[in-house]
Amino acid sequence: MRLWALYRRELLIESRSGVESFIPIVFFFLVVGTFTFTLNDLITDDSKVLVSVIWITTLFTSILSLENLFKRDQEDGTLAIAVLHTDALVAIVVTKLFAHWTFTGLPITVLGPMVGLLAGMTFEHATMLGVTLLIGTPTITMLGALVTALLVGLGRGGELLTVLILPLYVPILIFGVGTCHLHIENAPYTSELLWCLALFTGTFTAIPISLGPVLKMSQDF
Amino acid sequence: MKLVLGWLHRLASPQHFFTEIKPWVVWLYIIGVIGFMVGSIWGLAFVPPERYQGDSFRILFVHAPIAHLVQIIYISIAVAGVVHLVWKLKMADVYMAAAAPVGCWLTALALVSGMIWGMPTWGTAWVWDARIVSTLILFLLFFGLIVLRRVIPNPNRAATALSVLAIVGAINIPIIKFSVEWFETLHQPASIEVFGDISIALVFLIPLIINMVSVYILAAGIILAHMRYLVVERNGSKAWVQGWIQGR
Repeated sequence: MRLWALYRRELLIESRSGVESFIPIVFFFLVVGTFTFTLNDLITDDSKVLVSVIWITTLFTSILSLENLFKRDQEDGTLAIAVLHTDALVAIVVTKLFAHWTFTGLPITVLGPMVGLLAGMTFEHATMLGVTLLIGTPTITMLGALVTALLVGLGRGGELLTVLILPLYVPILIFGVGTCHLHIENAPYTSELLWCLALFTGTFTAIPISLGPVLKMSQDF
Repeated sequence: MKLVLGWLHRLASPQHFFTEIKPWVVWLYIIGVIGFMVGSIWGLAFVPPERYQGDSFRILFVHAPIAHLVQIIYISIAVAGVVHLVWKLKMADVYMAAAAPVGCWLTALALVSGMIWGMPTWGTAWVWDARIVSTLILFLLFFGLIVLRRVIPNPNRAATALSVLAIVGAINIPIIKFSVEWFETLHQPASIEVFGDISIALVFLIPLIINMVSVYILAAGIILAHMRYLVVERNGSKAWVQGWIQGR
């Protein structure tokens, strides 16, 4: 119940920050749009290209939005208080990440396949893209949150975050895109999809536990 | 056994490490350099040209040992990360700080030598291959470790952050390797197998093994030398360091 309240609080803050909360989505559209301007034939002829473009744009959108994940909480002291609640820290952080995902990952999961449909993917292929994004975006958020937590309070982000996070995103990217590509080629894709799920469950098991100590460490200077 | 453990235990203290490891550094350097020269000259001058690749394969004697070494260095950094997180051993952090730049440069060398080798034999410098991709990611991870230490001012926090990043990266590397490998085999017939099932003839194998061992020894020497330097830097205010400076 309290977690629900916390979740609602996060959503309220997000939605009241106005246009700012739409920046990641606009960024996503902008980048995919720029690709379609330059690759127009390639993208409409081959949905594999489009899948790769959407997936890579998703990664960059996530990095862009992760930069502010703990920023406000660090500035107003919410994070320090959360860290003091040792027992509840994991639950608090996971709720926070879930709220973050609702504002970035979820829209992309919905909008990605729609962009695909607009650019000439078949409905089935677009659905598969949606499924891999649904598995992939929470994984991405979790992995990114761990690296972001390492840098809380340092006032550094942007390129540094990209350099640190992107290598960690490679497995989920390869398996996510791989699933879609195999599906488009009518090849068996189950093992790739299962690997996506394995990465999803793996990150969900390991990262909440390690986020606590990492955040704690960020509070003592 | 007890003697070895006791010796290792003493090495955990910076002062003992500093004094006891010096002869090791010297000998590792000497043996490593001599071994590397022997292996390389053997490989370059005395080994017959390879049947299909001619003389261009000779870069193997530099490329393969280094490409192998960097993976071991990364794994060792991750192990040091675990040691640091579990036992809070200071020397583990010193090791991570010393080994990351060495690993970064060697990975770059492995990539560049691989490209140079690829040009005449494959006709291209870059192939979407499991080994190449995982080495590139390895380079980025090493780079990330170096950068992360630079941006975090608090040394304790930097050490913990580095350990976490090193461990997460170490979990990622095999996944990346397997993922690309499967990807590849599903899409096109097996691409270039550097070693694969082709067993290397003994004439090629001996200098290769000499180089492999000596590259390991040399890297150990470089990392230990760097560690000594870091130990002095970090304990600059301690009495024994001051005494050592006076003594010089």
